[in-house]
Amino acid sequence: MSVVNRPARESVWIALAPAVVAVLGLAVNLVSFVVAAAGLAVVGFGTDRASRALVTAGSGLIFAGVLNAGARGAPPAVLLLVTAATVVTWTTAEHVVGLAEHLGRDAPVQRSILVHLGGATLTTLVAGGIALGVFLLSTATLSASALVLLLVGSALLLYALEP
Amino acid sequence: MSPDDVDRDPGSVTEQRLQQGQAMGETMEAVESGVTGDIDFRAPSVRDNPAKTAAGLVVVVAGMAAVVGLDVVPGLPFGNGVVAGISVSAIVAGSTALIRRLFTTYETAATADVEYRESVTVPGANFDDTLAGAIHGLSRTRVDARRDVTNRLRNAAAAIYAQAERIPQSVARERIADGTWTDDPVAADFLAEKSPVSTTGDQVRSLVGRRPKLATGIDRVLAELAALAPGLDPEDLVDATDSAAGRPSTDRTTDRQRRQVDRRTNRWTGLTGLGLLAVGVGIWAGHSAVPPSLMVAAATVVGAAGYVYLSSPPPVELAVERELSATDPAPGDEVTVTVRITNESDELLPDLRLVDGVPPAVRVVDGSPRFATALRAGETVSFSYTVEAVRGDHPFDPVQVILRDFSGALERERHVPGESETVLSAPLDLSADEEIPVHPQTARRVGRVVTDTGGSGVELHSVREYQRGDPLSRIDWNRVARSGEFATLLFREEHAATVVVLVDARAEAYVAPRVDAPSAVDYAVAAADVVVASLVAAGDSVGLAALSPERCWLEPRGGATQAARARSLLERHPAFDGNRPEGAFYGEFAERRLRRELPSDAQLVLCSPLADDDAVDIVRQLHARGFPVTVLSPDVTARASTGQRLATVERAMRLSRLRRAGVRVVDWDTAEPLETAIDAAQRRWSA
Repeated sequence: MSVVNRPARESVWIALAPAVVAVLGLAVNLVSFVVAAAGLAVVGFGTDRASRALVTAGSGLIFAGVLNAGARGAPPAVLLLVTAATVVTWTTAEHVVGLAEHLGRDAPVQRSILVHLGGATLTTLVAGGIALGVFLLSTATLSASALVLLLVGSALLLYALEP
Repeated sequence: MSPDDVDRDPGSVTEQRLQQGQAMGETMEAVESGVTGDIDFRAPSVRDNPAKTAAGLVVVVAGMAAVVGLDVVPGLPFGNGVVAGISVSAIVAGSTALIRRLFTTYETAATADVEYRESVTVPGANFDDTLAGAIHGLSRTRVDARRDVTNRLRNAAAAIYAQAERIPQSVARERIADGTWTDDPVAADFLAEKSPVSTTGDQVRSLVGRRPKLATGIDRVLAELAALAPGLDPEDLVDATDSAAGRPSTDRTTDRQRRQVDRRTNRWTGLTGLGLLAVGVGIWAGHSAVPPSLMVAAATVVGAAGYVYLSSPPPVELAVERELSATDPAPGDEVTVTVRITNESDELLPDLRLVDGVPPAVRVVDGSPRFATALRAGETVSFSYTVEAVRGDHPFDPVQVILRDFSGALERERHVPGESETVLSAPLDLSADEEIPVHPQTARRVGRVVTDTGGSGVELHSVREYQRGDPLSRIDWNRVARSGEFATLLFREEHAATVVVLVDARAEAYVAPRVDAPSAVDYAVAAADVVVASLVAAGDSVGLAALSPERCWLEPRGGATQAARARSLLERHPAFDGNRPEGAFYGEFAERRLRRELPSDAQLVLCSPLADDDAVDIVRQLHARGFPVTVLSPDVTARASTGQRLATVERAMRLSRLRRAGVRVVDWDTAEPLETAIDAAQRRWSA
């Protein structure tokens, strides 16, 4: 009986589910789709090997796909979905890796993972949903200065909120 | 001397001392409770960066105003250049945040390997560690480690070769230096250092999954050494090489520190970098006219960051209950432990991780003593796992609890003791019916050792002329009838032996073939119990002693109560504890004290794994001073790694050294019952 500090197969699948959603959502752009699919593979491998660095690198690849799709004018609703899915995949995969480091392969951890996944999904979707609402309401009347002010303001807020 | 000092009321000085003492006591208390982290930690808050937050809010409000038509800053020249500048600075700031993440350490609790038995090492683990350092270590230490490994192997080889060939060590060293000690050119060259192995080459070899040259060289030397060792099959060692490669048989346990810490995990560091990148790329791509949809992506990331801010440190109000499936198990029985955790706070615990405090000497055989879940207020969960009961009393340690908030940004580590103390106690209970052979040195009492002295007995010894007083029953009446001469039959007298059973319980004897296997001391204690019981049953007078920093001595005596006394000592005495002793052990001193205590006609049965040379020295000393010794040695060596194979060869050499000194040795393969080993040894002795 020994402690293997790698996650169980089922935990890896749970962590990858949102990433699959992200990759499918990024099918709107071929380059994004390919990059995100590569990211998915890296996240899967990294989670299985309990490597935080690989999980973060893979999630970064998926996010690069998101940025590319956004810059090429993907619909905002799709962007909301894939961004949320990317963040959720990253945090869940990290959570799975952390559980593996603390508890090893054999401990029952699924409830913890599902609760984490649920919480992260809910928060990102709510925040993104509000932004989507504002975005859809404002597209018609937004002036250049209003847009720039909003963006710069949110950038400053992001910078201040750095945890 | 100042007037203040003179006028000081002696009472106030005492008071001061008292206060100082009290302060010191408080400090000591804090040290003992193990609180080491910053317990009063704050959750990350919007107020951490007031200036930036305020500026951000102002700009966002201005933007909102612009959306509804109140253009507060209409004169701002939002030309392409400014927009591009803003975009680039957002991208730069975002990248900086992401790069900063690379230099942030992720802080989290470390959990102990409670599944393993603590204080048990695998023979040869030390050599393996050095070897691993010589192959995978830092480049600075690698060369030294390599020299260290080669030197140790050379010393071991010299000792083994000298003993096998019965030549002085200096000669053996010379032959090893010029490579004439073996026919294998690789092994000879390796120890003669004719083919220096490059450390870098080995690292590359181990990276691509090939066996490093250092390891193959050592294995060739070991194969040659194994051929020199009597009773060892070199094929055995070679075959084990591949099948067992990579088995984590030398995994160590981590320290069981009782840390009570609150910490920020730094898990989300750099997250806002993603948002800034989204904003920057969004502005860059959409500055022409289209409002950038990436703003939604940025907002989603902000949402995730908000998630971190909304969470608060989870309360630690937990109740732990433990239940054992069997209250009175025998050693080796499987006991299921059920742990019940109740959240006694009014809040949801989103992320709760538990590692149960399995007693150090107990190992987990099935299931996991670890558990993770989310727990609603007042909810109770339970999990269970199976341990193997071991002799003695083993109280459970507190449960290590790691609590995190929803986002995992804050973490609390605590050790929560159970509601009532749980003790896994398994009394030693062994039925003994084996006959343990003893040396023919006896006390002058009737027993089962058949001596060379004629007298009363069963087996005919000799016939001699009748002397007055000889018992009538022993007169050879046939001869009287035939020739009229009186003669007396003498039989071999059967005497009792005085035996002291000695258990090697030094720190060096706490070895096992795997970290999760029973240790040599476990086997030695079980064997000692069997030996004492069977010797007592055969009428010998038996004593018990331990080679341990803890003194243990039971005067040799006969009778059924003696077996019970010995058994209760083996069960309860701290010398035979399941945990490795911490005090220092001085072999020579202990041996001298033992000789003073031993009756002059005593013989010894030593139960020892013979994992080091000191054990051999003690045995040879005692044997040479007229106390015949029988060594009962459980074989707890492993063959999975290079160091373990070296330890196996060294032990074989120790056995042969003892046999040469006239000591009887029972080499006990612990996979087989003790009787089998003793039978085999007896055949060897009578042959």
